[in-house]
Amino acid sequence: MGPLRTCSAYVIGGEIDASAGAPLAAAAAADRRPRSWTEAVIEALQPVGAEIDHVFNGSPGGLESRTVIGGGETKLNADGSVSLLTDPGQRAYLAVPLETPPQLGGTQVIAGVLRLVACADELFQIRLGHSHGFEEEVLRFSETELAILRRRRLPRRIYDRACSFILLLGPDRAVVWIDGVVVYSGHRSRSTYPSTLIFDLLAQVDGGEIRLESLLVGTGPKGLRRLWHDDDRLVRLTVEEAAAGGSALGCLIDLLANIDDFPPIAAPGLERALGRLLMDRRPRLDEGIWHRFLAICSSEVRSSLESAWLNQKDFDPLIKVQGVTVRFPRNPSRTYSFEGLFGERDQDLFEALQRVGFRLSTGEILGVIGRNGSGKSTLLRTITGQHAIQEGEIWTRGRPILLRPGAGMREDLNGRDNIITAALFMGLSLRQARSIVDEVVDFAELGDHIDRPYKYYSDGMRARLIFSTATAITSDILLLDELLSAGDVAFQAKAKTRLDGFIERARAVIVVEHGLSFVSQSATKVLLLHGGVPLYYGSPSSGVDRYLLDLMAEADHARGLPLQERPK
Amino acid sequence: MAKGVTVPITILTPKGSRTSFTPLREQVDAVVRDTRVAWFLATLNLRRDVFGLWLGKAWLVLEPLLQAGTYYVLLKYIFNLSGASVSFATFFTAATFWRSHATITIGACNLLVDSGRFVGADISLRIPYLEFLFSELLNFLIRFAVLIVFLSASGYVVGGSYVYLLYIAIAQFAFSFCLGIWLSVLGGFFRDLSRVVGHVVWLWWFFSPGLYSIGQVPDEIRWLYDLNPFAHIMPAMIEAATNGLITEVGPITNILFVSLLLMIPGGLIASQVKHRVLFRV
Repeated sequence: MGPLRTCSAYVIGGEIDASAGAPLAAAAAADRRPRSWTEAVIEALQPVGAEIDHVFNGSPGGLESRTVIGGGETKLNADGSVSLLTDPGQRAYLAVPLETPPQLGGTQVIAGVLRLVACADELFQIRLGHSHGFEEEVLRFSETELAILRRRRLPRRIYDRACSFILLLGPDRAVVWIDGVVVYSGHRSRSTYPSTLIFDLLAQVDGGEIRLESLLVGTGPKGLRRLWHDDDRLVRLTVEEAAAGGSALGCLIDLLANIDDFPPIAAPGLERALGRLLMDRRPRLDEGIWHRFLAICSSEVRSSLESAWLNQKDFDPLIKVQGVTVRFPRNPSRTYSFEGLFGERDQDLFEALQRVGFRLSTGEILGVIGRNGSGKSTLLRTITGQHAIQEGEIWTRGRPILLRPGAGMREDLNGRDNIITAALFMGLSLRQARSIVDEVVDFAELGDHIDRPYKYYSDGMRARLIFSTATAITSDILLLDELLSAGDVAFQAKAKTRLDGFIERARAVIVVEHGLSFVSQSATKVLLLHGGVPLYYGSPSSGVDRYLLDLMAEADHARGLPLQERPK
Repeated sequence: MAKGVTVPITILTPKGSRTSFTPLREQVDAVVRDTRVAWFLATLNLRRDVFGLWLGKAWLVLEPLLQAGTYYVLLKYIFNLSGASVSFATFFTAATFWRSHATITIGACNLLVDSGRFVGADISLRIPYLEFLFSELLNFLIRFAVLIVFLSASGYVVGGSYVYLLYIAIAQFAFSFCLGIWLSVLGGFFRDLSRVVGHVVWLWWFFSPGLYSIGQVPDEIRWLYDLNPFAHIMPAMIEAATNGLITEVGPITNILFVSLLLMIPGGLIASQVKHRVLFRV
């Protein structure tokens, strides 16, 4: 990447007026009336893109952007145009209007923005602008310090990963997939623009250093879809106006239509023919595109899944965790000591969680994985309100109940009393609590041990008792911390079956496990933490693969082998 | 979640937590449910306290009996030797009531911190706080029964004044629990508090008319002495228990209502600061 070039591009009414940048002017001159607004932006920036180091909207501090944008150095056009702004400090500012003109699709705006993101080596902040200046939406993003693409250097590791994003916009709701995993499902008000949703989505995965490689945007179950992808990481627009049938097949056709010398498909819906075409073309296709084809064909965008989510009545998430940061004193006892009183207390803090975010809806299982000390248990305790948060917000619909071996049980009470006690804490009446005792005892295989004090139980018996009690009660949100490894192999099989039944009762579960088999097989999404930093959030298989790669790399390092950058 | 019950929405932010509004009827139901849970847990605590002992639940009665015996020996032999003139009935009555006050105030210093160890505890602190109160209340009731038996056996008439004695007990528990709530908040931030309060309570006992009559207090410092709630509670309970008299009705009622009133801000503050306290546990 070369040095930052100062440039400005104004796109007004479909025409480009470029200044202070020869390549940009040349591009503008070459096509003063582009086919689409998005294409105009991207093509104008194409020569510049390779040299853009940073695309900012405002400073990392946030509020400066209001001054810069509104201060007259440049101005946003009231007709919904896009401006690329720079300042003498060699920072470029990208403003995307929320009020897009009718002739410009929201997807085009998004595609243009993301295109710019892709050509930047590092991106610190992008925020949504408004034609009248920065308003509430901007401030909201400012507070979350939204970062879309960021390569983060962790000790001995650089994380860089490409993901597939899918945004499905219904008339009153929106669903977002990352790598085929639903990460967002919620209401969409009339004032919610597609671009807003995209940025909300990206805020969820911030910290994962995700490089956008493809974006699929739909405007409804049967509406217009556009597919935008980046096959060679060069600055080249591939968004095409394609009216597909609103199905995964339509998206495939759309994608195929954007590949050079690929014959047009005249009859959408001929899946068999498409399959043959794909197979024939495979040797000539980029490997990444081929894999994406397979993923889309297999499960990532199943029409049935789309309709299921769009028709689901209870689609509001049960948990929303947004940019949560938790700081702990390194030595809590010193925090309020005389030493701490007169010393520099702030320096004694460390971040146990750093801007963690995810959503969990009804019926979903989130697996949280990571090494010891990565913040998994801290995350669960934070959700239940046992830790104060310093940044962000946790929104829960229902009462989350945290279960971990030994916790919540009273050592001197017998198993029977502990079952009743736990059930009471979960909201049951005394009569209801007593009614579940026999069933729990049977399932936990405790037999006569149930009348012994809890403190004489083995670890396995304790975990079995807690797990059996928890899953005997219908809970809104269940948080399990290292609980599934309880018992022998036979009990784990029983536990899995019981947990499946529990999930079928339409509740959400967060599972913290060192063993990866449950996460791989049963979780619907996974969150990988490393030192409190969310490294990955998405499909369980990808998350587990990535985690295992990290572990292997660490093992290599321990053996003295050279470290390598992560495969992309 | 039972049908027809509003699903609570809770939002945790750096400024604290806030929960969505629930209808008054559901709030009342929640209070009733939590009270029952706390009472059940308190009864479990009684069993837990005697777990592993040879005499088991018999200790629930034996312990106050032994206490009474100890007091008797103290008064009959030790205090007589030193010239004290307090009667056994007076001393035993005062000590029975005072013990609950001491237990609540000293134990409350770590109450908020200990509440964080409840897994899946309700966002409100009702259950652990009520459980703490009820546990001591149960112990008090047993001790109170033993006290009545001793007084009856000693020739004192158990009559209508004992209803007033229960009223005094309610006022004292309200005062102790109110003080306990505030101490629990302070104790969350200053863990040293529990080390200090024990000694203060011990000193407080000697500044209260349990071992001596209120008439023995010099008039010059009587106004200061009257600021001590137990300067009213103890004489009132002793008169009611031993002489069948109803005294200090006004001060006792004031203590009751002021305590109930001060519980509200104390509870709100405890609820607000719990996150800041619990993360240090």
